[in-house]
Amino acid sequence: MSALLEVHNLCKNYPMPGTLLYRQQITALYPLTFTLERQQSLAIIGEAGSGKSTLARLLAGVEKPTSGDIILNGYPLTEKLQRQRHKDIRLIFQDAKDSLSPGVKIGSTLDNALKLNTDLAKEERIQKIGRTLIKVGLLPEHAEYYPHMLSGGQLQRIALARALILDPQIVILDEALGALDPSIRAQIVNLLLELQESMHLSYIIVTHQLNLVKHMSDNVLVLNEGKLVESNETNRLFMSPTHEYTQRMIASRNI
Amino acid sequence: MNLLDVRNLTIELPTHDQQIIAVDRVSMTIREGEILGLVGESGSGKSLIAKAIVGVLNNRWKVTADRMQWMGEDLLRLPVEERREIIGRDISIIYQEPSRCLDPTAKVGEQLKESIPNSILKANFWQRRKARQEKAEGLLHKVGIKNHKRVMNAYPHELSEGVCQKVMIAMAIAKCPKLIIADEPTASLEATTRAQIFRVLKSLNQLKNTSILLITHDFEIISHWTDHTNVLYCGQLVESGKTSDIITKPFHPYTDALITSVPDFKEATAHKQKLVTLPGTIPSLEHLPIGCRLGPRCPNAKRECVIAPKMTKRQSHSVACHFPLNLTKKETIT
Ligand SMILES: Nc1ncnc2c1ncn2[C@@H]1O[C@H](COP(=O)(O)OP(=O)(O)OP(=O)(O)O)[C@@H](O)[C@H]1O
Ligand SMILES: Nc1ncnc2c1ncn2[C@@H]1O[C@H](COP(=O)(O)OP(=O)(O)O)[C@@H](O)[C@H]1O
Ligand code: SF4
Ligand SMILES: [Mg+2]
Ligand SMILES: [Mg+2]
Repeated sequence: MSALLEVHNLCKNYPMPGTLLYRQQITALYPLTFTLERQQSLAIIGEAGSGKSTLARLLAGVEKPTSGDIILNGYPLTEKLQRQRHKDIRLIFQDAKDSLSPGVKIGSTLDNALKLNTDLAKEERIQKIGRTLIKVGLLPEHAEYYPHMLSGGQLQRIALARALILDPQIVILDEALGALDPSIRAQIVNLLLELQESMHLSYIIVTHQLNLVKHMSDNVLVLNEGKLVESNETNRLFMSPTHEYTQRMIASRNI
Repeated sequence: MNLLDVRNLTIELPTHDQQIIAVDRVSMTIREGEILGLVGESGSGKSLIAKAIVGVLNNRWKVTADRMQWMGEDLLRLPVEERREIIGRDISIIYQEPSRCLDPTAKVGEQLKESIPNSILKANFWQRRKARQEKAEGLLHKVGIKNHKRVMNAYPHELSEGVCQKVMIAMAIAKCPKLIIADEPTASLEATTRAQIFRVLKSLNQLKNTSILLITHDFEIISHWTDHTNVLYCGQLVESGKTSDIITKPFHPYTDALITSVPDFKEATAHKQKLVTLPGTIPSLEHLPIGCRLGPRCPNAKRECVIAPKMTKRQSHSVACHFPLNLTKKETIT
């Protein structure tokens, strides 16, 4: 059986800032290959600017890769499968505030996700919104709120709700746990672990919090300046990091 | 000496049907050369406090305090211009959302250079341009940006969030302020850079005696970098004291929960094991519980807790709870 997700030589270039004339490129992500199994979690770690969010955006289909293939359940993801991909791979952004429209109630944002991607009737959608809000530790009343009325952490939970509401197979959390405070973060970590078991979810977790990496992930990819420098099972990586960059990162873990 | 002395700071948002009190009678002092932590649930009002201190909350908010003294002068009672001048000179703030605070239409290098005051450039006016450029590059190196050329020529959206945050930090330390308010300064940075940033802040603290108000919800950061800590829940202070005391024996059930919920922090946690945490959620400001605000989530709540607990002090460690944890016999009696 094929893996849930296979990524082959995925690569992304951006035009270099300030060089319109010569069209120089910078490579945000060098060709990268990995697989993700069902019900497993993959952590991606690396310095700021190392290409983690770029990878997350490519997987979620928010941006097109320069080259390379993404294969989900044995099928290459093409543009035709966009709608299915939006349901199956959900991305939670690093900055929840930017990803929620300011003038739109939380409830409508969630409702839009359902309207676009499912055929549920209105009443079912309302029910589902309420249940999902409770799942992420909010109240059904929060559907009536506007984004500016919520704090950063509360918004991050809305973003999680928006991802989970479509019953996805893979959830990509790009620094989405970072903004949560510990008592809620622990609840969400527990919730994610629970959902992983009950819904056989897979996670791709981008985070700077190495204790969460260690706790939640099965495998780790280490990116440095757009290149994959190391990948290993989580406990092996923490016990014997081989790349110098990983060693430094793990050494500074407790500072 | 006290640099900043805030008594009963209250921040309200008057709306047509209800008065929302987002921060309720919070007091804190920051001494010269101290690193003070402010930790709390998200939405507890940490950023509001930071913004109220530097006076950037918009007019919709009502900010009151018995006093808000900056080196002996009450900021709230100074003319706006004077207040702005003092804050502009002495206090830097690193905001939580770097991309929202950088000007999207100007190159990062220009913005950084603008934040360097003439007074700290040891150069005649005809040499300033060059001196400023060099200073800007130096600041970027200090915060761990090696490729200064590319960063200075970029617009904020072309840089990753983490690099933007480093630029914000470079801008904050450019004027050598007396106080740096750092609101989640490293949330978007990875471990190595995070450590590097804290080392930069710490060295300013040691060499220039800069005070730092460090806002975070990460107890690991608190425990490594701060001398004293204030714990906030739902807009109220619930515990304050020496950081080491708070970590080793937290008095407040909320603080205790924050500390035990971090995997591998105080005790080892097994892989994918459920973490210890408080049930329930933070109540919204419109529906605060009566009495102790932690009440509905608190594992130790008893009948007495319907009366709001007051801050009480045991030596230098204060708590607002009717049934503090980890008390020694002697402390229970007092
Ligand atoms: N513009 C606003 N209108 C209404 N309520 C607001 C507004 N801004 C903030 N609040 C409320 O004020 C409270 C405190 O917000 P604040 O941003 O200070 O939280 P915080 O402690 O910094 O949280 P975080 O850790 O998530 O950054 C929250 O309950 C929030 O919902
Ligand atoms: N839209 C863009 N235009 C130009 N460069 C970009 C763009 N988005 C990202 N980059 C560059 O790609 C690199 C990787 O960025 P990113 O994936 O956001 O890093 P990370 O998430 O690991 O911090 C960075 O050098 C960044 O400046
Ligand atoms: S006062 Fe009561 S409810 Fe509040 S924290 Fe203490 S024990 Fe818990
Ligand atoms: Mg990123
Ligand atoms: Mg905040």
